[in-house]
Formats: sequence, structure tokens, C-alpha cells
Amino acid sequence: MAKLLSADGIVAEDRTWVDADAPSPVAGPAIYPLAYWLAHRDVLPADSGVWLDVDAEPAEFAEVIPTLALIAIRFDAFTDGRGLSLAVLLRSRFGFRGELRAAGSVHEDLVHYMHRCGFDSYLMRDDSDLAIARRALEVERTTYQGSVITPEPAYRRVARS
Amino acid sequence: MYRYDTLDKAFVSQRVEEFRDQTQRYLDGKLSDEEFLQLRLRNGLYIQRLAPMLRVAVPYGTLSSTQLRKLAHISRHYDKGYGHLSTRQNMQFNWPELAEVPDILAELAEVDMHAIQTSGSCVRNVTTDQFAGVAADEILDPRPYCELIRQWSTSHPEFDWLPRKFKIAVNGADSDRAAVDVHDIGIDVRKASTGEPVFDIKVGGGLGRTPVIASLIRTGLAVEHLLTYLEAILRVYNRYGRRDNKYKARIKILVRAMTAEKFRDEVDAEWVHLENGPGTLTQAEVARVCADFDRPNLAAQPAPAQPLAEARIANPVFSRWIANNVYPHKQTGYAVVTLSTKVPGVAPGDVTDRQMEAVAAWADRFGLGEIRISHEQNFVLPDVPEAKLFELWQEADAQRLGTANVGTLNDIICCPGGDYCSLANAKSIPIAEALQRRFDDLDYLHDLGPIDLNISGCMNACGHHHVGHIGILGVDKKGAEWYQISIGGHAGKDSSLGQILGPSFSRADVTRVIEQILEVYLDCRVRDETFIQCFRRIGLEPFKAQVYGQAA
Repeated sequence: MAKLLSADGIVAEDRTWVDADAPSPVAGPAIYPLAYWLAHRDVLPADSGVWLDVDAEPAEFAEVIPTLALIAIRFDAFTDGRGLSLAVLLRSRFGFRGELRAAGSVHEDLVHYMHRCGFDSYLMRDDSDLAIARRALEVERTTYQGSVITPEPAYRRVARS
Repeated sequence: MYRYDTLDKAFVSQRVEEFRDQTQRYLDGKLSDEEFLQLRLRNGLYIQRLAPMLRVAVPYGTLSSTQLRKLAHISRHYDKGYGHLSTRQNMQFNWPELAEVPDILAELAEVDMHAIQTSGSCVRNVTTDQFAGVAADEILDPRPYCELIRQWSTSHPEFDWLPRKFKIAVNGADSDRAAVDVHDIGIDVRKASTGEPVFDIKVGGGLGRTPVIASLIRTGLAVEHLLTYLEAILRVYNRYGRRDNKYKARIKILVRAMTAEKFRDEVDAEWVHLENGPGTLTQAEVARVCADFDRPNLAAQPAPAQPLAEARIANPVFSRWIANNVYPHKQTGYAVVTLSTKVPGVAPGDVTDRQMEAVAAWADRFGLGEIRISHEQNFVLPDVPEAKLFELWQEADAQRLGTANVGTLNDIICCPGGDYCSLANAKSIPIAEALQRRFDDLDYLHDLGPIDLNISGCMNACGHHHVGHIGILGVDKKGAEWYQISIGGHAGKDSSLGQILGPSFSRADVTRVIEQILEVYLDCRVRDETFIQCFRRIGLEPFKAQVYGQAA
């Protein structure tokens, strides 16, 4: 069972992940592949989530983004930065206000960067050390750039001299 | 130079502690090799053929005498008493112990230095003209803009995991000593008619397997938009750059696949959303960083007791050094001095702890305590009073840093090659050494005039062989080391890529082939035509005929 790190701390995975191979409706909260959700959204519960690959084009489903309760971005490798740009776009350009979840290859040493890109929950690999990930999120960090969570860069936030 | 404020210091300290924790977890077996690889690369730590290699960032090649003394100390206590000046103006240590690297980083932090993003698929150390701020032909000092870019790109949450490494260079002079045309982003800063700084942005240049000259996609960008425009470029690259093949992952491949026009349109479409947003630079921030690079008015120099011309006549070797290693300063009475690391028997760019201490002492005595590292792997002292040149030259010569060979055939750019690097196909240092021993006659070198000879041990082109007037590339032929030679490359305002002469040579033949190439030049040159001018007039054929004979 994958573990979830969220604003509530370390909790059990709270939704069923529906694969893209043969998707079908499941009982209870779930995360569906985007294409399946788009085709069946009228009959799926309103709080269903969708998941995207890192190369998804948000412009192609822009109108539904603000209505979604949860979007998960699936990383095949934690080194694939496309998912970070996708998160930034969903948050800062496409008006996504729901829960943004990182899934797949999510590394505990990188969650604090992901948080700044707009993620707020992390579905970690089974071998991850969630205590390290949680600690990484809790540390107050000195940063230079603006980000999704703090749009102002350091020079607009603090007096520099 | 830039002075760290409390935020900069806090940032670096935090990064040191984070890396100490990661290293400990790796040593405890809690991080796999593959995981730690990615984390350590973002802190400049490679595992090389023989030992780890730590690449310390020297932002845009500027450092203080205090910082250089710290590097000397690190080389003594954690390494084998020397360091290596890299072609990205950084300093590398080849023999640190992995477990001691966090301590080295903590020592660096004491003098406001670090190794962040000197490797890995992220934005690397921003480079510039090694004569920035002092060159007589400078329009604007590019370093404040390098510093603004450095801060913006450091631990950027969105752009730390790019398809491949990303190199930015900025130039602010008439000449281009920063080679902006062969960078992922090359920036020329100039003055608009209003006197304000404006930026011309080029993208998609690079060396490596597929050498490309960058394409100009924006002219006259105002300073407040510099970082948001870069953000737009990086976002397009991060999303669409290839990740399936590391040899096709640099931005140059994306720009070429899309065409420069289409790439520019994508960037502009992205920038529309960022222009005038919170990432826009404020006047106060630009002024704050620029102020750190304001140069004090140097004291007017009294006329020297013995005029330079007299000293030159009395000492021809000193005269050669003045001609080759000394560049005009903005202010009369001062000079910019390049201290050559290129002497036979020493790998190009290698410097001992004693040499570092000596350079730091000269920087204090003959300047404002500032030192530069050039991408040609030499040290530069930017503010030497002309009256002190002879004294400096004598002392530098005693430390084997006074060779009068800057810009000559002998001033070879050379990567660490197969002696150290696990990527190399062939050794490069022994080639450099053999050439330096063969061409050690300063009169002959002077007669040859400016020639850039660059050596890379593999296609990754860390030795910039594509833009050497003569380039040498190590290749692997069935497990043996061979060398491919190209001619006609050039880095500068009129950049060009070298053309391959023909089939490659064994190590034993390389020196002979270079001799033959030089013979063709000396036979064919007209008046004071330089090697590259001559090549551009006569082309590759005469060189081919000489080296391979008529049959080729």
C-alpha cells in the first residue's frame, strides 16, 4: 500500500488509482485517467480526481480544470522536470484550486521543491522514508525565486542589502 | 564584486546542511547509488575514474583573494595540493574523500562559496568575459546581470530537473571573450540610445556531439524583463526538450527541430503571461546588485621610474609577456594581466596551493584583491598598475605563472581527459604536453601569432575543440586512442565551427600533423594575416594535401 503525505501528515492512500489500460468506475473515491474521466464525468462522483502524465497539455482541457477536485501528476522518474512545469501551469495559468498530488517516482528529497511548484500531497513509493519527506516540508527555507506558493521573488519579499 | 547579504549566507548554509544529511544517508545505505548520484550532481560532485571530483562554483569567474586562499587551503587539506581551473571558470578538486565533502562545502560557505549546480541537468554557473569591468573595449559590465541570473537560477523549484545541462553566458564588450554563440543561452548586453542596458538573447548554441551556433530570438530586451524572458525560454525547453536520448536533449536540438522562428514564437507566447508579473526585476534590486560591481576610481599612477618601453627593450622575454599576456585597462596607468598556467609538464589549468597563495598575494599587492579565472583556464589580475608590471612578471615567472604564451598555440585549452574523466575516449593531457614541449620557442610562437588550440578527450567537448582554430578530439577506434583534427573553428564575434581534416591519427602522429598544418599557414599567409584569417581565405584543401598527401 502506497503511503500518502499530505497537509494532514502521513496517512494511508485515500483513493483508488484507476489505471489507463481498462478503466472502469470503482466504488468510493478514485483517481481516473483524464480521457476516461472526460468521457464519463456525468456519471462519476463529483469529487473524482483525474491523473495526468507529465507531458499532458492543459490547454486541451482548460475549461474543466477549475472544476476538478483533484489532479494527480504521475512521474515515471523523479528526474523528469516536465511534471514541475505542468504543476506550475495548472496552478498559475489554468486556475486549478483543488488538490494537486504528485504520484509515481516522488523522491523525499525533492518534495519541498514540488511544494513550491504547487503540489500539496505526495503519493510516495513503498520504499520512501516519509519522515524525511515530512521534515523536508516542515523546514523553513531561504529561497531566491518566486513560486506558485509565494509569487514574489526574494527582492520583493525582504529588504536586501 | 558581489557581497553576500544575510539571505545569501542563509541559503548556502542551509544547502550545506541538506547535503551533509544526504551524504550521511548515502553512507548509511539509506539512499541508493542512483538516487545519490542525482542529488550529489546538483552539488558539483562527480565520481570519476579514480576518485570523486568536486567542482566549486566561481560565479562568472570572479573571486576574491580571501576566497582563493580558502581554495588553496582546501587543496592542501582535502586534496593533493592542487586544483584545476575548468573551461567554465570554476575550480575542480580531483581527490577529495566523499565523507569529507560536506566539510569542504562548509569551509567554502565561510567565504561565501559553494558547489551548487556545477553539474547535473540544471542551469550551470553563468559565465562571462574574464576581463569584465576592466576591459578597455567594454560597453557594460555584464557581471551584475550574471549575478541576477545566478540568484534566479539557483535551486529553482521548476528548473532543477531539465532535460540536460544548461549553460548561459553574458558578454558586454565589443569583443566576445565569453563565446556566447556556443551557449544554450548567449546574452549580449549593450546600451540603448537612452543609455539604459538592453539585452540581445540568443538560444540553441552549443558544442558537444552536434555543434551549433546560437540563433538570435530577441533584441533590445529591457533589464526588468530579463528574468521573466529567461523563465519563458526555460519553461518551453523543460516541457518540450527531448528526454529519450541524452545526446539529443540539449536545447539546440529542440531549437533546430522546431526552427528558431517557431521556438521564438513559443517563447513569446509563454512570455505574454509572465511579462510585468511578479518575476519582473525591480529598479531597486538591479541597483543593489549593480552597486556591488561599481569600481572605485583607481589612484592616478605616477610616471614609472623606468618607463615600460625601456624595460621592454632591456628584456625581450618581458616584452613578449607584455605583448601576449597584458590587455588594455579602462583606466590609463593600469593593465589587465593574464597569468598563464600553460607550462610543459603541467596539465593545462592545474595550479598548486602555493601558486594559489601567490596569486592571492599579488591580487592584494597589485590590485583590489580580486582575481578572475578565464575559460582558457588561466588566472587574471584585473587592476595591475603599469609601473608594477615588471615586478609582477618576475615574481610570476618564479612561480611558473609568467610564461608569455597567452593566445598563442601553447595556451592550450584542454579537458582532464582519460587521465581522470570516466567519459573520455582518450587522454588529452599528454597531447597538450607533447605539443607544449615541441612548440616551446617563444619567438616561434610569437611569429605564429594568435592560435587557439583546443583539445577534448571525447565528444562532450569540454575542451571546446569545435571552436579551436585547431581542434583535437579524442576518439575510440576499437579500444585504441585516436585523435581527429579539425581546423577553422573560432569563438568570438564571428564564431565558426571547425572542419574535420580527415581520418584520425595515432597519438604519436599528432605533433607531426600540427607541424604540417603550421607549415601550410606560414607558407600561405599574406603579410600579417592570422591563422584563422588565412584559413578562411584558403580553405581546408591545402592543409589536407599537406597532411595526407595528394592521394587524399
